[in-house]
Amino acid sequence: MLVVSALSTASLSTPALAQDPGIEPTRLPGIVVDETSAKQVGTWSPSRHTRPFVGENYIYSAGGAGQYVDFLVDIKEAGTYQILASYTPGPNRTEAAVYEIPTANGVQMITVNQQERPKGPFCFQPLGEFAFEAGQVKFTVSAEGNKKGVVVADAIQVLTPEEFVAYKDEFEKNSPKLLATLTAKADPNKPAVKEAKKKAEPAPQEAAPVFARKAPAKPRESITSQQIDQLMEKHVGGIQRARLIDDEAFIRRLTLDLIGRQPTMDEMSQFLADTAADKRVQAVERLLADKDFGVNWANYWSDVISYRTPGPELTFLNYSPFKGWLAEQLNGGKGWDETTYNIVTAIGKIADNPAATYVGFHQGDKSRLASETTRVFLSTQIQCAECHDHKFVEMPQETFHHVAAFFVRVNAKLPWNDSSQIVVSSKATGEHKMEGRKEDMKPMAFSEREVELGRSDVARRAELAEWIVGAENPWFAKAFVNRVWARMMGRGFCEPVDEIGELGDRVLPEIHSALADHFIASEFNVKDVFRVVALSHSYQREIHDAEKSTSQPFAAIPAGRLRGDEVFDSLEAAIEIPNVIAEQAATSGEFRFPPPPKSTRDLVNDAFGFDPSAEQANVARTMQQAMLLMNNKQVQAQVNANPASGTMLAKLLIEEKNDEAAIAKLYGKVLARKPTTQEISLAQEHVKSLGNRHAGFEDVLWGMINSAEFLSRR
Amino acid sequence: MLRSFISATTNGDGLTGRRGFLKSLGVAAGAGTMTLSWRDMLLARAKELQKSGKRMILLWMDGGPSQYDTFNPKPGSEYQGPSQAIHTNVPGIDIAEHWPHTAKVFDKIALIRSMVSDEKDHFRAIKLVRSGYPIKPTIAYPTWGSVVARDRWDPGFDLPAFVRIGKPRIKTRDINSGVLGPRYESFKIDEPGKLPEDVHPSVSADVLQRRLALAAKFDEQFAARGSRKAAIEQREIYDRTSRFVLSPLLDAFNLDKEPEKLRDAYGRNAFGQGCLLARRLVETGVSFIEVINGGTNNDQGWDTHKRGFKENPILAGETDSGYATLLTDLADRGMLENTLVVWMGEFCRTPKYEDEAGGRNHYSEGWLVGMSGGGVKMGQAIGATDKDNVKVVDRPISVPDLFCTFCQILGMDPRSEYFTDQDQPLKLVEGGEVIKELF
Repeated sequence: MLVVSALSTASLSTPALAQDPGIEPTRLPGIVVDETSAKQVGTWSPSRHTRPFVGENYIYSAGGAGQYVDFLVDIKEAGTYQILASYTPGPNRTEAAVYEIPTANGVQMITVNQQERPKGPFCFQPLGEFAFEAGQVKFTVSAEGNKKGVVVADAIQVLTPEEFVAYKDEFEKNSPKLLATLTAKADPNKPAVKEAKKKAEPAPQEAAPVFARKAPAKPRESITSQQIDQLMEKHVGGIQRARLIDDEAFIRRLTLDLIGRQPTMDEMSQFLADTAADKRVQAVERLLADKDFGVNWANYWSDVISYRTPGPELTFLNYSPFKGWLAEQLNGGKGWDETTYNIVTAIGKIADNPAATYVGFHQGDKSRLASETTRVFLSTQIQCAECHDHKFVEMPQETFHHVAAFFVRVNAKLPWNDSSQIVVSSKATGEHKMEGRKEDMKPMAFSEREVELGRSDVARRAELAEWIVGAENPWFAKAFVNRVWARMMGRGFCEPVDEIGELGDRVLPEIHSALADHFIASEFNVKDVFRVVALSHSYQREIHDAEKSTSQPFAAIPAGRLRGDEVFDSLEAAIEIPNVIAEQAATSGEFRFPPPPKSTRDLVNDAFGFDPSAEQANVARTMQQAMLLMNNKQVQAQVNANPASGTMLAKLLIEEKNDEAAIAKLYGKVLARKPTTQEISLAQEHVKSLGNRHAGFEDVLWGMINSAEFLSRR
Repeated sequence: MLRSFISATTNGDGLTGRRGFLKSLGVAAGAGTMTLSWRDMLLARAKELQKSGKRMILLWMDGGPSQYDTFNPKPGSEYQGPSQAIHTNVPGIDIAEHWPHTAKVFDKIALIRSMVSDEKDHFRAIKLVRSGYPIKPTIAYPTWGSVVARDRWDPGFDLPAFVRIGKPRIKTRDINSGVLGPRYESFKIDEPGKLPEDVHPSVSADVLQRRLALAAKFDEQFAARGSRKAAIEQREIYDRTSRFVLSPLLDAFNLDKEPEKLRDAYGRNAFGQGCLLARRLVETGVSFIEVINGGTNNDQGWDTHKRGFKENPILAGETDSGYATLLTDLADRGMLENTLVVWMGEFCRTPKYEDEAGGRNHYSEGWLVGMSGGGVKMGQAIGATDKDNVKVVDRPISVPDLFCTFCQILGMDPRSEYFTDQDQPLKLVEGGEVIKELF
């Protein structure tokens, strides 16, 4: 009774009697970790003064260095969860308790004013929804930077969004009654909070038939790396006598190309020490099996899509669920045909089916889906024909509108703010009409696949997808291998890489076809394309500019640009830059559309990201990029030789007292190679000329990350 | 063939480079050049640039301002609401009472009262009114500032050609350089008087120069190993960036240099100080400046759906001093002739208001544009609406008309074409005619 009256008078500071129980953690929904099972570091005192709280008591600390509590939680399934923190408010509390949330995208810091009453339920303050990977994660309540008042730690709760909604509903309906049932005195056999009820879902919509691969009409031939080299010798020349790159350059380039960052010093030395004759083959296998292979190339494909997807008016498009899903497909060895089929035919809510991201983010717009689907998956551009017959190739306006008719019944509902809540569904009726024409346009793909009017949305999209990914499609396999070849060899067979039709600038068609056939023969095995290219002599040539601008394409592999994610991952590998995420501003009546906070990776991506379909020559170097590496505080904090800073550089200089050895190590760490003797003396002289080892090495490190080499695929 | 033809066309900037300028300055100043400091040279250069081309300042009223509470009140109409009309210093032009300062400088404004468009949705209207092109999902038309920046691009100038001051009230409802790419993107100042963090070197200029010299040596090594092209590109952008972050012209962003009295006159709020910053930037040679006025009422801006009667006077009050003082300040300095100042939002508000509080919805007939300077005939009102502001009854003007007029003033040919980053040809403006009354 006392507990109930405390709540009903809205006063949360009624002193509790010693025997009054707290909320029983096992009776709360979701996962709850009480502070008694957490790791307390520093001086924390127990208290039962302010109610309600979880378990026997709560703890508090005045704060200072080394004062924090770690709550360990086992997350069974990767996904999005609502995180709540329990504390008891009061006027002597801190205005800024810091909660560190280890999300799948980096650690996020949330600050809570503990003088204010938690929003509830009860003593719990919702900290927000975050994505997590499966496994053990560590939530920290930190009092380290605390200046005034005490920091309270009581419990951490992890709920699925549905559990949270159900729990909150119940709390809002009758909190006194609920609280009574949650305390230990209540009947322990009755679950206090009802299981999250499933909302009445609308009638399930028809899903596309499960993907079934059809064998090619005539079998295609595989190709070996040696055969690629023979063809290259025939068409380009100079391949067999070109010098192969050494092990250091090989592992650096391969690691960059496959998993999107430079190798660490350990990886480098292991590879160099390996004496196996087939160690390059093994390295290719090891990197293809690395989960970062899928992550890296999911980033690439996500960029391919996102750079041409205009943002909707009131929703921030978040590609991370899509990237996560795509990485799984790539790592799991799913054929590119099946993955593409699933993207084009997807239906449902993006949170449940991230494959629906592509159709959903285009808001089901039939024109955009027509032009982008052919561009992204077939590298064939038809958008010019939306408004008039294509000017430069034989393509009447109808071609475009027949493709648009495949998407005429797609429906996408956009919520405010949260893009994962976009739902892709189907309209029951509707046909596409071309402006100024009376008749309905039949869904028809380049006169190759035709669908009757009146068919359902999913049936149309499944027909289109089946045609796109079929072995007989003239562009599908070529489009994919062209992009891989372009990233690995410095330019595509066709440029721009999303135009393999007549308009593109086409070279080496024989090799292009052979590689496409290989891809079809391997049942669209993604990793196999990388494998066969990476093991060719052609790939393992040294990087240098073409002799003359007029010289034969592929006579040389020039230094390429790293993509945004690759720049961040290289900064992570080189200077151990942390990925910090700012606090998410809450949505409120006043600020209805607060933008999502940017992580360090986002900032780097904003500056260095580019559309992967752009020709290399059109990828600009910008002042924003230069300023980020020159001046940005987060980057500069790592260019610090002060032993107390704990940076990579500081540690390196403590370990290596000898300048020459330190320079060599810095080159290994930052540029993933050994310095030349000239470079050693250059750096050595610089350090010596300053007469200050720390300042000298800070300059050297700064110079390295601000050099062209650091930003190059090399 | 098609491709090489295109790249040849896009490279035609036709502007004097840094060296060219210094040479011409040397000829003009003769032996006196020797005594000029670096800063003097840069300032002289900025002055030189000012002569060569007109600048544009866009005062963007984010959210769509009410015509009744700004420059087209309709006393006696059942739709007017509580705002009274006052006379301006131009006989025959009355405006809403919340603009006392602007009323005194109306001889420096040509007011268009008959803008008409089809777009009543913020997102679509913003894209239209800031680019001149109706929204098209498959092409990202650039905002006008980027188009002007491309026209005025000068690699020898330390500062960016296009600066944006203030943030759009809702981040996703924005328009950037689109198909023109990052080079012509605006340089963004969120808060007037404060440069973005990354502009400030974390070390002294000497240390930065020392480090840049070392990085250049590293790049020489990279070039020597065969990657000369990447090394040269890198050095070019670092030269440009280091010139920018160390440039004495960055002083233009520092409002502390201005007399307190003038700062007060501009209004001590984000918009007023933004206008002052815009003037400083024009003075320094920046080609296009956008000052976003989203008001101080959270992310609502001029989008007053609920409490227009109360909020529009507040918004007007936050805008009046900045607008009026900018015009007089530019005129006093003899800069108005070479600076086009445009006041506008994406549309106006419905005649009918919702309830006692005066909320109005979106309306795109009879919205307003104020134009000053750049040689236009000021102190006139062009076009008219009926007694209730329901219909445009005289001289309807379209968005392409407006953009053709911008071109006319800025000395650009509206029908000239450029190639997008996807090699599509695009005209500066499609359709429309110059508004003759302005000249």
